[in-house]
Amino acid sequence: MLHEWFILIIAFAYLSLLFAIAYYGDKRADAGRSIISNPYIYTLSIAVYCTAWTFYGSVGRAAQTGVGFLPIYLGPTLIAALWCSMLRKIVRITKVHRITTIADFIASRYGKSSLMGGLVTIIAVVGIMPYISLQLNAVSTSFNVLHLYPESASSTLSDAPLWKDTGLYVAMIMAIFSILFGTRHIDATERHEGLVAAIAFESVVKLLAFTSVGIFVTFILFSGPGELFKSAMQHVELKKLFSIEAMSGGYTSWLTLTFLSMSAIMFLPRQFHILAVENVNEAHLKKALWLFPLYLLAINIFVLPISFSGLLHFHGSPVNPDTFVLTLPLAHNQELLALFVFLGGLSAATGMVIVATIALSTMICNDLVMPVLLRVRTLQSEDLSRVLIAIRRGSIIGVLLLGYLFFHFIGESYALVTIGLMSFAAAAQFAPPILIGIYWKGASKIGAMTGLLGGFLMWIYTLLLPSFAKSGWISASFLSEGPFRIKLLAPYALFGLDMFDPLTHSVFWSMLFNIGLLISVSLFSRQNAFEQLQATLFVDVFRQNIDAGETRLWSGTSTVAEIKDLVARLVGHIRAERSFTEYERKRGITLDINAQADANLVDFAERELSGAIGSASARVMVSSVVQGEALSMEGVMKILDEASHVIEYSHKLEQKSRELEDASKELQEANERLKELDRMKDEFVSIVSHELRTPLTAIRALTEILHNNPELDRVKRQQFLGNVVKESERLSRLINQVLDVAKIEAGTAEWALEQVDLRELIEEGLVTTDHLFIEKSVTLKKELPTEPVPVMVNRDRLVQVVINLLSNAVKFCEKGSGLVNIKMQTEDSTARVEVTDNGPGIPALEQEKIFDKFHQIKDRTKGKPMGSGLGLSICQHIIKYHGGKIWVKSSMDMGAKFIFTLPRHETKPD
Amino acid sequence: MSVTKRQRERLAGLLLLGLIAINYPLMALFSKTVLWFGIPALYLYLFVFWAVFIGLAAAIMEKREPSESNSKHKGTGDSV
Repeated sequence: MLHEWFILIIAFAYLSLLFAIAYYGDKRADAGRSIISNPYIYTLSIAVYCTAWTFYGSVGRAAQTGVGFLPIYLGPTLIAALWCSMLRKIVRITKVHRITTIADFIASRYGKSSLMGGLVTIIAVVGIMPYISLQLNAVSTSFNVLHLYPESASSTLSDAPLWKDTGLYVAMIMAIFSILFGTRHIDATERHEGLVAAIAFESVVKLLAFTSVGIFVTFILFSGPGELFKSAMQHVELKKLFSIEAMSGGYTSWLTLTFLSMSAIMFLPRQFHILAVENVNEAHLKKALWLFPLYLLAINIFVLPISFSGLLHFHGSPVNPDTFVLTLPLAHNQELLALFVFLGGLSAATGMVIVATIALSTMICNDLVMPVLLRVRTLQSEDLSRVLIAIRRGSIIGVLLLGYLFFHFIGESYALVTIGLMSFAAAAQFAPPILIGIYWKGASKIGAMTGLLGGFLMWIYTLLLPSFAKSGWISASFLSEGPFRIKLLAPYALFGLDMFDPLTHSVFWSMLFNIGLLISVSLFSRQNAFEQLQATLFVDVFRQNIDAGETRLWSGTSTVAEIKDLVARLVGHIRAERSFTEYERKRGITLDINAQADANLVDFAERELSGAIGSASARVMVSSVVQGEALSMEGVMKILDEASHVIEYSHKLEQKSRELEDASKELQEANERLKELDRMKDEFVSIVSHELRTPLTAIRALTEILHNNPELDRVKRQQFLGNVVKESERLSRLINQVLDVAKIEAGTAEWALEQVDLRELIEEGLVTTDHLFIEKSVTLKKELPTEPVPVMVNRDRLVQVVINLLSNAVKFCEKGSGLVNIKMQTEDSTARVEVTDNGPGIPALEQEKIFDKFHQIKDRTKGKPMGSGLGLSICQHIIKYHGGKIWVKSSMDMGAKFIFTLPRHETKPD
Repeated sequence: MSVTKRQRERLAGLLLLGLIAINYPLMALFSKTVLWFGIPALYLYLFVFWAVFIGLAAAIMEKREPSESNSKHKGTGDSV
């Protein structure tokens, strides 16, 4: 038999070891070398989920219901599959908004409402109370079993007077340890690295302890699970446990438990604290997602063997199945193993109690006490950080005392698991406001509040009050016949719904009220601007910049010194100094103490305060210092608009890309045109040089003959010289044309305009080209009006046009049979001149290009261009310059008709 | 965090599989008093499925996606 004080010494030594680990963890964190920043420690800390309930209660429940203990672990396994999406979002929000507790989270989502935070805190404290009592119950029972065995094995508690009650001392010791772990520091911020390290260590201990006893029972007491279950098959009673029928409520109950555990793993205050608040790095979720279920599997694998072994071993004797893990080793004189198991159970219980009380005390401090304090007292000169710590320590003691009272007066009449499930059902009330809140912006404060209240009242009525009734506080008829004998209001069969087990019944009604009210009231209520803002910040958390630095939410006036002072009052001077220095360093600025604090700094201060006292209280504090309009409409609209900005931006992008496409198409076309021009220029250069060389060669040949033959007869010489003159003229004509083009192109042509009679010009052109007609024997016909046709033109240029057109016409006529017709008509305000020939005509394709510079019609018979290709281009330029038009009409073998028009110039009589 | 959309979709699919497998009526197929390999059928089914579920989740998470440049994503994930 183990002596009482020996067990106590071991227990205290163990707790001191935990404390040392926590201390080391904090030291390392301060030095910036975190020991908890890896997914394995994170996973082990999540295993705080496995409490004394798992350690002692699972075996007890398995002994009664077979697989009935499993949904509590299968639910978290399943929901872990959503950790990378759903939980990641919660973690991100928690980090961005410096959320400290689950109450803070819900309050923050619904407009940083103090009322909401308070409500959540009350639900959490009342709801978790049974759970804490369960731990106290387990530790005191296991202690009693260990040092009194075999006398105490049958009962859970002796009816000892209060001062001899082990539970009270357990509660007190746990309170001291929670205070030591959670509220050692003056700077009351949200994260506790040392604590997490200690919790992770405890998770290893409880897993090892449970596995040891499992191996002992399965492989030493029996030769393996095969033999164990074969023996169980012999007993009719035990055989029943093999199927689901052993579970009261069957599949419905199974489903309820799965659902409850799914929400409990994330929304029990302590789970939220470990998963979201203490999370170091979001990436750790990736591994925890499957490592944590693996831990659950490992710690559950021996539950059934231990349970069956206990049932077989203590068959007929009244041993509480909840204590099988202890009594089995004790019955086989394995006292050291039993002691190790006791330490495992102690780990499981203390882990839960410490984290839960720290989470609850933070809630009580930030969301219940602070809002009241901030309203009642003037807080101008106080150093509040000490007050904060004191409030937290007080609430830890308060919470544990409440737990103890529940344990003392009610807990005895229940099995461990049944008590725990009450807490699960309470924590499940937080799931709708959180999950709906982070995906639906329309969920409103009033909706969430009525939903929570409705669900909580249902929970009280259908689960908590019946537990009072069962322990004799309320008459038992309350359960069976309903209050005031109204059968419809019977708490286990509300409104006549009697087909479920009490837990499913309660979960159904509370969830119906909770979700139903949340959605329906939200749909018919209006959110104020700030609620809308918070809703958007939560729902769209992944769309925002992490720093969210540029939000201009505060538009009041206060100095940097005032803000700094405020932060220092709540988190302590040293920490405030440190975080402000950090702020300066990050932004690369130096703060002037007397300058006015800008919106970013105020925002930063509010976040810092949120870490210490929760978002709702932080808001009240900051607005007490920052005077003026607390929330600028501009800031709200900016954030609300963010989503629409994104859409607008993508529209703009699309438009831009379309424009780019168009531009590139245009560029391509322009490039094609340039290439064509380039090609034409090359061709032109070669033509021009060819044209220049031909007369030049002729002149040279003729002059050489003249030079070498001085005795050449006179007639011959005259003929040669005449040819030289003609070729020179051709040469200068060509050069003149090229120069003309260049001039017109460069726009330097400045022509003197004068009023002339168009008929005169045509006559002039005819005179100049007369010899061409005679040379080629081409007939000329002319139709000119009798009246003068005055136009305002440059005389020489217009003559050039006429000559060009006429000589072109002659050029393309057949020798002898050629016929050229020049005709002029006057219309209202224009004069129209047509030059027609009966040559080969111009193909339709060529007609379009004929006025292009350098374009030449290939002579179909000679395959060689005739002329420079500049004449028509020059004509077009000249006509256009005078405000007229020139074009061509032609079809193959029918000759061509060139037409130009010019505006008439009527002289006004002076 | 370097979790791809595809990984999240696979996990959601896994959740659906789990919800169906560990529920009525599939569970009823195993809820009988027989021993398989010396272990009650229902217990064996639940624990084996549990292990398979964890294995699948681990496979989904730990598998390197060849299309995504993992190292780059990891870099941004760690700084978050």
